[in-house]
Amino acid sequence: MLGRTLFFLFLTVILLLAVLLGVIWVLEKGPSPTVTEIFCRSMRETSAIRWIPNIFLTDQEIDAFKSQSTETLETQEVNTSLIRIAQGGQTEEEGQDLELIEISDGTIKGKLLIVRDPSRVILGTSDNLGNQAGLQLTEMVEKYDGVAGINAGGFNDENGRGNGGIPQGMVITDGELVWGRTTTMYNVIGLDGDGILHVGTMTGQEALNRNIRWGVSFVTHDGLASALIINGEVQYQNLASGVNPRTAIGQREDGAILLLVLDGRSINTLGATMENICDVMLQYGAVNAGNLDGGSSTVMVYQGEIINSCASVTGPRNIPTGFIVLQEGQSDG
Amino acid sequence: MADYKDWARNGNAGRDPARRSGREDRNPGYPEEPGYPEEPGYPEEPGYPEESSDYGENRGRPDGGRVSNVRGRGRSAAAGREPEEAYSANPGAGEKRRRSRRRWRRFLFIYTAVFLLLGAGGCFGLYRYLEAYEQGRPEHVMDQLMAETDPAEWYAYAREGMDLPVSEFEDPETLFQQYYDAVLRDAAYTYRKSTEEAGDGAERYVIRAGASDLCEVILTPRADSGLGFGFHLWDVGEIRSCFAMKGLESVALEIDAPPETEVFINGVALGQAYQTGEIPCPGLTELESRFETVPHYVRYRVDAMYGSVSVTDSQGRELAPEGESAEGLVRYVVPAEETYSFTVRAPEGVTVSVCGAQLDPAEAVSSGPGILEGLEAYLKEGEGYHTLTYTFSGLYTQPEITAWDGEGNQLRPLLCQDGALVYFLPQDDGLRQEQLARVEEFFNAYITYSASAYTQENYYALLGCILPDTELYAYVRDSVDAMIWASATQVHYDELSFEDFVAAGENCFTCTVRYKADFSATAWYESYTYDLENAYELAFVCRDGVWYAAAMAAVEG
Repeated sequence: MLGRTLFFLFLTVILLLAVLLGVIWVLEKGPSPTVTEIFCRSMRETSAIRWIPNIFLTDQEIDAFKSQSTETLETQEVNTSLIRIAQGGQTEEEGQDLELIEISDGTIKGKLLIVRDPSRVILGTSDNLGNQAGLQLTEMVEKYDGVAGINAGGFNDENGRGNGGIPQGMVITDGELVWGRTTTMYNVIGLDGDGILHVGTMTGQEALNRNIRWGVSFVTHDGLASALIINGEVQYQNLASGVNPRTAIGQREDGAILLLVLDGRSINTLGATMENICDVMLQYGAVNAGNLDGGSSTVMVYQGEIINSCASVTGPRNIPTGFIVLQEGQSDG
Repeated sequence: MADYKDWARNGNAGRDPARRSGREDRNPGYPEEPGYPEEPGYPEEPGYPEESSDYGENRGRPDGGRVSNVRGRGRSAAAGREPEEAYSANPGAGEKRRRSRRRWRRFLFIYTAVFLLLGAGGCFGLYRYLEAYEQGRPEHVMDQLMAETDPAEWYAYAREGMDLPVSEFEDPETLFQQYYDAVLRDAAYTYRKSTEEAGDGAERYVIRAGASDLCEVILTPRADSGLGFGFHLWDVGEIRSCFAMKGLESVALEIDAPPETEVFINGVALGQAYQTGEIPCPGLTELESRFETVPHYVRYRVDAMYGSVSVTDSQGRELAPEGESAEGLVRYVVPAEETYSFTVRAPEGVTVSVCGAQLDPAEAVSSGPGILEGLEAYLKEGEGYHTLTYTFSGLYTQPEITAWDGEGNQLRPLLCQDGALVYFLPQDDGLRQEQLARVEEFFNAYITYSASAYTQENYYALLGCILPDTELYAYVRDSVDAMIWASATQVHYDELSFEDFVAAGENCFTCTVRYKADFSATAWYESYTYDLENAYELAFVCRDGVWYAAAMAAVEG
């Protein structure tokens, strides 16, 4: 009986694989170039299964869908005068410093946390950065006694088996470059000492010169830079993405920080494109916005709980960095 | 699977009495029942190849299942000996296993077939779905619209959407053109799906030029164009402008100008309706703030200017902005068409007043002995006086200058050609009467020598009037060579007066010589005539009972 059961399961797996291959064939060689493009880009954005497009497509065919790398393109500098932070960090909506919004628009679903006082947002890091495994976001939020957080920068994740301990790019905490080099060009997403969000291409030293106090860098596997909106202008060159879970951070004109996670790889939603992020950010008034590490890393913690649908099949991943929202009354100062 | 089919097709039933009789078909589920003793008698069964595949089932057999691994060959060998050896102990159980295996294989076959069929159907369905999806993508219509639309049409949509309450100083058309050139002309035209619902199955897209939303495009489902799966083709419906000149910033203008001065913004005169009040003149001097009538400027304000601004004065000169505040306020200051300056020299003790504001000696830019410098040896302690020089510039008001002596007598100034006013202390008429002859003697000697004739007699006559060891003496003495070239000069005085006799001390007095004269001079072979109006301040000292001219300075009156 056991033998038959095992054989049955084996056969079922074989059949499932066969059907899956059929589905992949339809997606890759089927009648919709749009879907093929989205599928290829989505797969290529992952760490573990970015080889899937190669099953039926040649490298040349895949290259046609590959996003053009924008990570080294110069970006315009964030105009800090466009951000006018209300005195004391509070806006006219006094008393509602945090607002959690359910995002559900067509195929995209997720959570948006509005933090009206930008001084409450800092960058959290795992212990002993680079030398031991990262922390789950819940642990990281707890470490900083925060109330909420989202994952931030990327990390070494060879074939999807990274332990979240080694950041990619650069990390600035409390105005100090703790990971990365001053001379290397990065796609930075960071908050300066005045609570103004900076996104764009700059060296580590330039980031420090701009008084960035809490910052990470991120770039997709295909080299898409992280800047999505700068000074109200959508950075279209960075939007050629597939659909995946996404994490992003933005800032409104009044200084309020927008922390966004869009779910994916689930029955409810396949994920979101960079354009989807821009749409949400623009809808909620972002003047500047940047894309953070997505995919199975995408996670938002609020009041000690993970409140989005985490795409990682093994549970929330260990990560090296996260943007943490401190308790009311606390600030980065 | 093929073996199973072969087994059925090749007449296996012909070798099986039970199957021939059809009993197995009638009661296939109970082969082991006692009422069917012939059931174990399936001698051919073990030799059939499909059983050989089930290694596990044969492991308990005496031959370890080896025979079953040999197709064909094993079949004939097994047919002669295995049935009895293998199944004689429990023939019913063997049959049960065989039937179970057959059912299992049948199930797997059907399961696999159904699974693959469903999978293939699913893939086919997905294929059709994607086909319909691709054809029904509204983005295709948008792509086509973007490719086929002339930029002039986008311009029109943007122009339609511009609705600004512009002031009289701006032309909406010019303003839009400026904005278009700066923001839209070279911008990348893209589109994105609107976050707002379009309703009635329509799709709403926003066409953008750079960061500016230009117009909304409503795509409506094309009638009778169903592609399946709810997809259909699209038609371009309404296109309406949603242009709001995003990012266009206005500035407020604050213009300060002298009263009665015309100011123009973009060529349009600034009217009184824009006056917000009077303000002190920019850079008003402290002196002028003490004037009886303090001059003022008029302030104008224009609240919202969106385009380029050109502020010009009545002469058509364009003014540069003074600066822009963080609140978007741009300031202009129209300079006064004319400003005034003056210089006054007056002895200490003389009170000078400008437009009612009395000058403080501390405001003097210099103070010194003036003409008496170097004559200290002829002045006793407490004798002599200092002359103060006052200079002011950048005045908005023409200065009216008056001066009084210590007793309140108004003094008459000597107006110099450079505009400076020179005041002297009140004249001592007795002193004038007493010294006039000596002063005239000196001056005549001076004029005679320098104008009429270069002779030794005249030269020494002049030197005899001048106190040796003074700068004046040295000047006259050394000017001989300089005067050689001018000769045959004639002088005719229109006016000549000796005034302002003031005793600086017991042995020293000062006075002035004022004249208007026509000088005719010949230098080599050329003649010149000069109409001169001049004045000199003179100082005389008494040495050994003789009065000498000790200093002479042109006042350029």
